[in-house]
Amino acid sequence: MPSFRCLVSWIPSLSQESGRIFFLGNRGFIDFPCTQKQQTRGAKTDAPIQDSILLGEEDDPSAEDERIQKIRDISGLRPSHRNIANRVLPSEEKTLPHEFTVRYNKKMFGRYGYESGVNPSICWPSKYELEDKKEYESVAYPYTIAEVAERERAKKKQLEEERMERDKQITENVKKMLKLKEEFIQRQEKHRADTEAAKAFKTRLIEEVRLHFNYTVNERDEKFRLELKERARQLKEKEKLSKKTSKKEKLAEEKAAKFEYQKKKLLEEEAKRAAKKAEEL
Amino acid sequence: MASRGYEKALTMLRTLPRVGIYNIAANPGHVKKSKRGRAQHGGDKHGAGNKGSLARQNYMRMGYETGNNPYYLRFPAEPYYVGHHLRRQYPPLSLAKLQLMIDTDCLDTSKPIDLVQICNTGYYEIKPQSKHYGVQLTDEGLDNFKAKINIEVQWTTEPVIAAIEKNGGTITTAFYDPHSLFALTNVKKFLESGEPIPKRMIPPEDAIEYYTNPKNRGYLADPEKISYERLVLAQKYGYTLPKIEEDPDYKMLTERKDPRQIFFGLEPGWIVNLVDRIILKPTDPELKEYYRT
Repeated sequence: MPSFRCLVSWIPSLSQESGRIFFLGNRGFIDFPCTQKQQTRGAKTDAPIQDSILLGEEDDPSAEDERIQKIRDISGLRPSHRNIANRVLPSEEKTLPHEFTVRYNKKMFGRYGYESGVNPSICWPSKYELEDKKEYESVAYPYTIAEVAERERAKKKQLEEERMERDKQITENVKKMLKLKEEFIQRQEKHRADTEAAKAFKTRLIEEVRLHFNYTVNERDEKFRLELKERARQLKEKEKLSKKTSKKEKLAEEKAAKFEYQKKKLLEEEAKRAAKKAEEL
Repeated sequence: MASRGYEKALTMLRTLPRVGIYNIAANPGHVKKSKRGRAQHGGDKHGAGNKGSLARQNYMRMGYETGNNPYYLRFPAEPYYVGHHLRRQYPPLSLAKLQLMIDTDCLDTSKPIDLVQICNTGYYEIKPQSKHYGVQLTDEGLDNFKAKINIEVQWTTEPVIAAIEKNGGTITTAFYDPHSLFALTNVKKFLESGEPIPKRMIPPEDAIEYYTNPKNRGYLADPEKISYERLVLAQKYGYTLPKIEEDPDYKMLTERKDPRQIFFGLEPGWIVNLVDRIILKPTDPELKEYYRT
């Protein structure tokens, strides 16, 4: 019998439960076998299969009926297949490995009832299988219904909170946005103006140098480049100078204005004093 | 009666195999095998064309487009299909079809209707192996629905609930795990396997909200809240809610399964034998405990 166990073990479709060997795998849980039923089994089921049509028993009406039935049966099925089709318990001895599994015997009980000779107690899981099932359930369904519902609610609440927080942040950012936008536009405008001025300066310079040479010069020419540099330097100096002079002028003007003011004040005071003297006199 | 010649012949014939496609053969010489001749005996290119991969019979691999970006690689990701093969599916059953089943006596309205009854009509199929999780009752034919029933489905919508409750019926949405679904969809096969009736497992996390919601008439919802929601729905859709408390079929209409139960009137752990017409119940306390919780 142990050889069956190893045979069954490599049939891939059989689960651990179905692979349990009928006579070995009880583990003290199942009261087996159900002897009385098993003895009656053979006698009951042999009848429809035996080939007795050639035996002549003319007086017996039931035998005659049976004979007629035999002739009528034109299915051409083998006896075992005919038994399956007619739901008659198979009469053959169990020989194949799968016929000793619990799964097969459960099926026999489900299909043929007590007539199959199978003790129905094998239909329930054994102690070992029950432990296995419990372990599976503890992993697959670790929470009760209330706990799962609570977890789901908490998850939903957390998601909602996250969304609200993000909404809040967005509204705050939108408030700042107008100011930031204006600043950005100004920055861009300034950048554009600067680059344009630089460009204009350069074109003016090139034009001037061209006028100086009095003909169209190649811009990569060494002479032209030197002249350009010189001009740029000169222009810069000029600008500096003009700035300086303008500053000086401005200062002088300011000084003059101050002097004028003081002068005016002094004159006014003198006039006041003169007026006072005249009054006293 | 003595044996006769023709009977002997008949018995002999019976033992001989039948004539079938598997044991007949063509007349000898009828079938001609095509030969790949060489040289002047039909040689040349053998119909494979001149030069190239076709003549050498080294075909390109499937989907290869001779250097183009192949079609099967052109669209790199379709994120809306992520987990598509794992989603629960609820094949639809319209109210019109349900009404037709009732009118043609496929369904008995004097008893609660659940997945077993619907599958037993033979006009609706559930394949638990294809991720089908039960009936989805849709609102098609909602205006013509007139039956008063107690039905249990797996998924439905608000108008459908309103249509059923308007007629004085009741509806429950209930979840079944695939193991129970195999038992429910083909009861005879399941009972003949000799297995004890399994207990119903709890719904997964993403379905628990649906089945605990009284608005969906979930089987895990509080019955008091459900009766309140019945009234709310009646007001929303503008019909007067028939009083099922005064109904002669009150008992049938309010019959519900236990959250662990999968068949009406049968408890998990029982074995039903159709041949002997008996029910076997476990006596082992450990087994009892297992099937109860």
